[in-house]
Amino acid sequence: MKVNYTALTDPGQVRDNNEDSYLTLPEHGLFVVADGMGGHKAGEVASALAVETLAEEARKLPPLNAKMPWWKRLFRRQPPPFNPVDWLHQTITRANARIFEAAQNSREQKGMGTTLALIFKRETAVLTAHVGDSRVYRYRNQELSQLTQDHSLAEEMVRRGVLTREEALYAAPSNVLTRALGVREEVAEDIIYHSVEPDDIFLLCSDGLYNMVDEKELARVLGRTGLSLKEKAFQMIEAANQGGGKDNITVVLAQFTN
Amino acid sequence: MARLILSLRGRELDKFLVGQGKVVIGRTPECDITIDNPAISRKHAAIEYKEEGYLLTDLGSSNGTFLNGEKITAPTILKPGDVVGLAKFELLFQDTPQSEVQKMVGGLESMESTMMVDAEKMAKAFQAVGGAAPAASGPRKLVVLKGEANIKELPVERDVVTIGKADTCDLIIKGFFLDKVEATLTQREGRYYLIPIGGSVKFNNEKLAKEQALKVGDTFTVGKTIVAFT
Repeated sequence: MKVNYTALTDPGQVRDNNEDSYLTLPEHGLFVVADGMGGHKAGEVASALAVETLAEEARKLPPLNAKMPWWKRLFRRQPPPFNPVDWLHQTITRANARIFEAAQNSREQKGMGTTLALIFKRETAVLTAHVGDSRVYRYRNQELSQLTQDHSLAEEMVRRGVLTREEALYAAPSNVLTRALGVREEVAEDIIYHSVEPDDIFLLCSDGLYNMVDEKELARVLGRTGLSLKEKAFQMIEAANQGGGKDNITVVLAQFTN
Repeated sequence: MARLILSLRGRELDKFLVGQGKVVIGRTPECDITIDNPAISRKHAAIEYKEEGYLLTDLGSSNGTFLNGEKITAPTILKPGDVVGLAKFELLFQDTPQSEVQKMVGGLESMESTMMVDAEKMAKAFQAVGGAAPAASGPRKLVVLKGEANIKELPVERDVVTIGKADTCDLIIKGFFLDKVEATLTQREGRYYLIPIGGSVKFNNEKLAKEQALKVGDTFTVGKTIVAFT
């Protein structure tokens, strides 16, 4: 299995620092985006802690393409069954605890938190895990579908029938989260399996992208033939900056091929 | 924030959201709300946000603007539930719940930073505006992790989903030694159960002999195929 991927981040046009973090571990099939929040640049600390925790734990796992020599494979003991859902849950819980603790111990970092959105390749499927309003999309057959449901007040209003989805686009507050990492002692992430077809492109991004660029435009960029993933990511960030760039923008693109 | 529902003889035609600006209602396309009917004047009426509330004004229309059946003679502040009459058309004025939710969640209008809302406060706020209980987060589905099946992802939409070798199964798994129907996934009282029928169903690496309650993220095997319930 081969992975084609790229990652780009940009502070945007308005903010003077970048509180987004990202992680690409292609050998483990793990890609992460985190959008930090908190005063005094504490957002940078929170999102970095989240991403570091995932990196640390992932590096303890055998790489996806690990090949064992035949004689080793004959005599090895049955490895304990690895449940990726449990692993993600435990790792995200650890990240939450680390950020929460750091926030308690520092006046400047009090109340800091971060969103988290990741994909984790397992066998022939992909797991998404997320907390907050950073998103994972899948581009397939010229269509962009959102795989994760935002943990935001706007989304909650749509789910409860208070506003329609169209109304929510311009009427609901666009930066109020209902869940985030590091803000409370417990965290409730969503972990979901999704199928993968060849040529699927996974897009992970912070809200700085989708709040500034229409999804139709994102799909158009992803569908452009002859462009590398890196060029597509670059065009998306350009589009977000041209649309106003009101927040930090992070784009991670990943494509799995056999 | 307010909502206007346009209807004609009891049939709903359209819905509009009004923010903190002014909405002009009339026959021409330049209007914010266009009603293409000869009884409506080119610029018929306006609804404008003011500090005291939403103000209804007649813009010198030929047939007049009515409020709850009576022709208005001066600009009037609208109350939720008021019906604005323009010829045979009706505009129902509603205060959207969103402003109620915002009031309760503490006036979160800051555009600068991201905030997190208190879960309890939010639940209370939604209760107050009568928001429906939230649907479970996302539909359930079966995703094939390894092995061969007719599709890679199957949304679980019915109460009973059949899994096996037969063409009539919802999830068709390839396998010479598999039974026509190896297992079913059934829903009971909001929970999902995997019920083994053939002999090739495994859960947690053990042959499944009786029904197993599934939680999101669980995986099971049918023959050589691994399926996740998510």
